[in-house]
Amino acid sequence: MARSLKVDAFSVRMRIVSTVSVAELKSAIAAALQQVRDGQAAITAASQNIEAAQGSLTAVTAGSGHDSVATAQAALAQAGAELEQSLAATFAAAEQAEAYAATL
Amino acid sequence: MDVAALAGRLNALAADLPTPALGNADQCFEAAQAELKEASRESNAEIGLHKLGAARERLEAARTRLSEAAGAIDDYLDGIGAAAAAAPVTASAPKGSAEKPPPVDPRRWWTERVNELCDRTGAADPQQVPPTRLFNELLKAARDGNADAYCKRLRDAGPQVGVKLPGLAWPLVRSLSAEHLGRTPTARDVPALRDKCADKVRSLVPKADPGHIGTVLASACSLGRGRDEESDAARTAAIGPVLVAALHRLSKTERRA
Repeated sequence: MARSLKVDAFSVRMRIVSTVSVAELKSAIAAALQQVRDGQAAITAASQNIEAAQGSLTAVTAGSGHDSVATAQAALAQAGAELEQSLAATFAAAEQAEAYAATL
Repeated sequence: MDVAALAGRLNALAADLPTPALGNADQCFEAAQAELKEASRESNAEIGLHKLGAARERLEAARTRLSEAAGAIDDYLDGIGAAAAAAPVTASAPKGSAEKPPPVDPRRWWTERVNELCDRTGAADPQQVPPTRLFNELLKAARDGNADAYCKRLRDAGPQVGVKLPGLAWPLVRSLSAEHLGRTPTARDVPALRDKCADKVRSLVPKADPGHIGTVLASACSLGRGRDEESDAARTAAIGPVLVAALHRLSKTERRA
């Protein structure tokens, strides 16, 4: 019985050692992907915030025709577009990282 | 709307622009770049570093645009002579928007979350241990049924090492599940595997409910995320090693039977 337990513990350890280097790489990639997902969530929330700001700005300054309001609206729209591009790039990055992990 | 109210609303709008959130996102991508750089140091494969660099450039551009928008709002208020009439931002801003909550301390969050999951108390005694050593120690504590040691090791390791545990546990979860079943696991196998391991897992991680265990099993076996729920890095890390121990014991028991 005691011998059987020792053998089993040994086999588990050997199995762990044999998977360590690849597993560590995959672990690092998994951690990176989690960071990417956290960043994506922050961008998504920020995009919604910008959309709300655009709506509020339109409502508060309706009919003003002021150049500065147009500038602010344009800047908000550009910020939203930049965030879309940023988000797209992060999805592409995540795909590449996942594809690399799959080859390990 | 009077001028003071208009100025108050616009000032609140400018103050609520998500510049800090973009800073947080950039920090996440910077950390991801560091992890990927480390993982790809012996490979020429495209692993997403360039795309993340491009994403960060876009983020920086977005921050510049937000700054321009805030400046234009100030200009507008100056232009209509409302700058001096602005009501205090806090008076019209939504509750909580004027004062941002303090940033979460990851180490403290990890300690509290691990204690909660393991139904234990105690402060962390931070230890710098390699992920593989931590994993082996957790596996031993799980095999011995030593819930105190399991919680302490996990708590002391902190989030930076702890989040790497699934990378070590999941390949073993996958291979032990296949070994137990005698074939590659499918989504239909998850409930049975979960039920067979739940008691062992919950003896060390009492706050891991069967749904969480099923989610980890499904994720480890590349069968999707199981039920849709908010991810929790501490919970996923805590379940992995004890699930490996439970599956290993399961295979052993079945072999004897």
